[in-house]
Amino acid sequence: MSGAGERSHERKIALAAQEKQRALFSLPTHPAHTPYPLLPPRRYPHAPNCGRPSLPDLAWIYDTLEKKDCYQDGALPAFELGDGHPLALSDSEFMRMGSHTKFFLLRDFIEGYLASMQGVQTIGLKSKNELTQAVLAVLNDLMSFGFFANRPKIVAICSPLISVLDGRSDKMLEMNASPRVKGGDSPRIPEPTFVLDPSKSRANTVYPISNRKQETQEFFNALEERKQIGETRWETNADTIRVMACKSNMLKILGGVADMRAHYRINQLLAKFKFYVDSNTPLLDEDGEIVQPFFDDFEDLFTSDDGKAMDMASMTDCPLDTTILDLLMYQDDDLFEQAMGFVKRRYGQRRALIGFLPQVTLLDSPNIPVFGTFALLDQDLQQLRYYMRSYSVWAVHSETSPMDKSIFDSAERILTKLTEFILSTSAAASPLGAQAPNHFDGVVELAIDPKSMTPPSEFFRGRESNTLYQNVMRNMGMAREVLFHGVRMDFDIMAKLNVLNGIPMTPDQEKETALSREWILIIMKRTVFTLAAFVRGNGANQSVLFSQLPLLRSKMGVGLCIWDVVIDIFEGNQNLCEDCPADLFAQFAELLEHAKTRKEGLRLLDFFVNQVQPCHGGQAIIRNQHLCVKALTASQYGNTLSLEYRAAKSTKTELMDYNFHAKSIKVLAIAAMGRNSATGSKCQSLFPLNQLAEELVASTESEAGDSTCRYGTALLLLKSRSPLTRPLSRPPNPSLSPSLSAGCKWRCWSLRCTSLWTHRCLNESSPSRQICGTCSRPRPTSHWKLGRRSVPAA
Amino acid sequence: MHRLNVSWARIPKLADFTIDGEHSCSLLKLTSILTDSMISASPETLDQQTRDQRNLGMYLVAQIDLLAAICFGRSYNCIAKLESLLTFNLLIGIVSDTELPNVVRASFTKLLHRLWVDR
Repeated sequence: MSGAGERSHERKIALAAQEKQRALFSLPTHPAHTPYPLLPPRRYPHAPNCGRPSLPDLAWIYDTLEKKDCYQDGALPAFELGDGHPLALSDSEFMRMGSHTKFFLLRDFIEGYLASMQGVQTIGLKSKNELTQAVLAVLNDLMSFGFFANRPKIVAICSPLISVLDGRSDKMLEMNASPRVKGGDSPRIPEPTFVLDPSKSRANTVYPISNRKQETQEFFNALEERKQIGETRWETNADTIRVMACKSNMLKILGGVADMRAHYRINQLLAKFKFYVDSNTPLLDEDGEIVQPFFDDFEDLFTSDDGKAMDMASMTDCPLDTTILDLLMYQDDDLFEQAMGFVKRRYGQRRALIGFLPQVTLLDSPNIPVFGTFALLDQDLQQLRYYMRSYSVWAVHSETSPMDKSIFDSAERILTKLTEFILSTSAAASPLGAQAPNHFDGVVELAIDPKSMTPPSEFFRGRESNTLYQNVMRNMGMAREVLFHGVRMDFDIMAKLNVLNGIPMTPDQEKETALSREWILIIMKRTVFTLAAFVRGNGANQSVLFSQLPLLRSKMGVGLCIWDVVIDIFEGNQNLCEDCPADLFAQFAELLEHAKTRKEGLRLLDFFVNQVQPCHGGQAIIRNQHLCVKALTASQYGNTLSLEYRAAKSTKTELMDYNFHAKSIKVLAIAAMGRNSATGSKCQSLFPLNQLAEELVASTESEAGDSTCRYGTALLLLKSRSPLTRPLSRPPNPSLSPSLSAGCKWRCWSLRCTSLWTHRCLNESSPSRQICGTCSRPRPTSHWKLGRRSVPAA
Repeated sequence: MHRLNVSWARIPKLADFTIDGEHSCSLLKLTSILTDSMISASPETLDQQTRDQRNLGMYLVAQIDLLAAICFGRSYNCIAKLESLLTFNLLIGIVSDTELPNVVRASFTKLLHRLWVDR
């Protein structure tokens, strides 16, 4: 046994003597109001990905790159508290432990348990398999949290793990074994026949034939039993399902090892890259191709002794490929998926590494604006993640804990710094090659009023997000690991808890409830502002947020201005606009209907502009044109657009009204562009020709018009290639359409016009243009609807 | 080794189901009660005393599972309450004890995971 094992054994014996006798069943009988121990304000949660934002890590610092040996401590990602962490001063010895040896007792137990299995799982032994499942779940988290931080530890755990993974050695519990295996109904195994050939007989030289026959029989029996068990163990039933779950978990653990391996190799490759740059060795030849020595260095990552050290096959004697092939035979979808994923990782190591490289962000130095150093930024992010996840503790007064103002202040401060960081400028815009150090802006705190309804875009006006820092934040998993937790918060949690208690609240409790709500809302709002800075103009970040669009939509309309972030998600992103959910248009039309100010309405209209024409001057998305017009002209949202404006623009309010009017026209214009007849005719029904003409004349002659409005109006007139601007080549033939016969009445298509048309009316007013005599709107005909232009033949 | 003593004396109904005539026992007493064959046996095949003892053992297991469930997902309030009662050293001692029934060890492993590891 290793030294650590002996140490743990002694420790266990000492613990057994020290531990008091405890009564579990007396737990519920404790006095109901026993004071709970207060939550330590800065408890360090064990973080997945070995405490890093992602594994492999995608944010690296050029200055600190260094080639490492995988046998060294620090070569692989590991759990650590970091310098100056608050928990280093904790009273608890357990919490004070800041290195990856923290769970050495548990690690020893798991290693011993897996080794004791001797590579065999017993199908049908329910309790044993449940225990294995629980142990593997612990192992999975320990691996994920970085408590297996060097190669010897990984090898020590992987070797027995892979042998257990091999299902060919699994056994069937005797009581559950198939009766056929026991021999009752099994078909008779053909006995091998031995024909003695005197000339070749070696009866006198080897042991008796009877012995050989017996051994052969045993071999066939074992083979038949393996065959029977093999077919049984692949089937899904109550017994095998636990074994399959165990094997699936084992593959997940091995996937974690593969991630650590990729992390290690990225570090090695970047260190080599740094060597080339520092020594002024060209990486590209005259033809722009990567030079051969760098190719060789890349290949060394996989073929050298150091490179192969982290390969799974080098950690075990088991035939890995055969094991995986056997796992593919199980009738379990999850296990099959995991096994296929494992094969892909095993045989696609180069591709995986090359796939990770474009995502890596390389910072020049550890110095960054606002936070000071990269390590402090990382530490603050970890803290914030903990605060977000534990808001039900520090932001709620319960029997278990009071409200904690210090944590609230800390969370608010970190969020403010994050927003400032993303908005800060950097002289080193390019990650490499810029000789100037990062430029520090200094902290300018964002004075966000929690009760203000000012959207982030308004607040950030004139400040652009720093793309480099947006990428760093994405690679550090800020949105995925931190900010989405902030959006998920329930600001009414304390009120709900009080309702559950069923006791009327005292005035003090009501005050605390209001305070709790205010705190959580402030944190949520700060989170929204950080999200807005994170997503603005960054395609990759837009995709990250788009993946959580349902979550963001669920929080729209509660006063967080999160709709502003949703608009930014689609800003200039053609691909995402094409995938925009159809009902989001109606949701924004409703928001537009209930917009409190014109300024808010103006910003909401940006959503429709973006959706229809994501790139300025680019192509319109036909699907979104339909959805946009449908949402904005729906009967329940009748007052969304402002299509008429005749006032002056002297006051600020009037100017805002005018801008809203101009943008409304622009929305209609781009919704009708691109020969979209269906939307074109719908837009024209809202904005008829005579009004268009008046608008154009007014906007060119009066002070009320400006270039924006003229542009929009002209667009609407010119871009919509509908029958309005393209007169019909021939008048409709009444004889072809029974509905156009004399006496048949049509209701004007415009909802605002109640006049009825007749065939005679149409002919008298404008037979060729088919315009309503009352409201001057075009008459709808069947061949105009939905873009169909099937004009009946004469 | 007696690392954990289970008592149900304060719960009147459970006090009727005793193990070896006592109202409390060590976890090791459960070894013979919570074997796989006992757990999977149908009630008709067991005598009254064995059946009661088995139910009592399973009650303990269910209670440990409940404690693990309330800590699930890093429920910090519950973790803060339980961590002083169920220390890491106590739990690691129980799960390492190979003489205990597997079903008990599995439950305590889940509790250890959610109380001390995933936090």
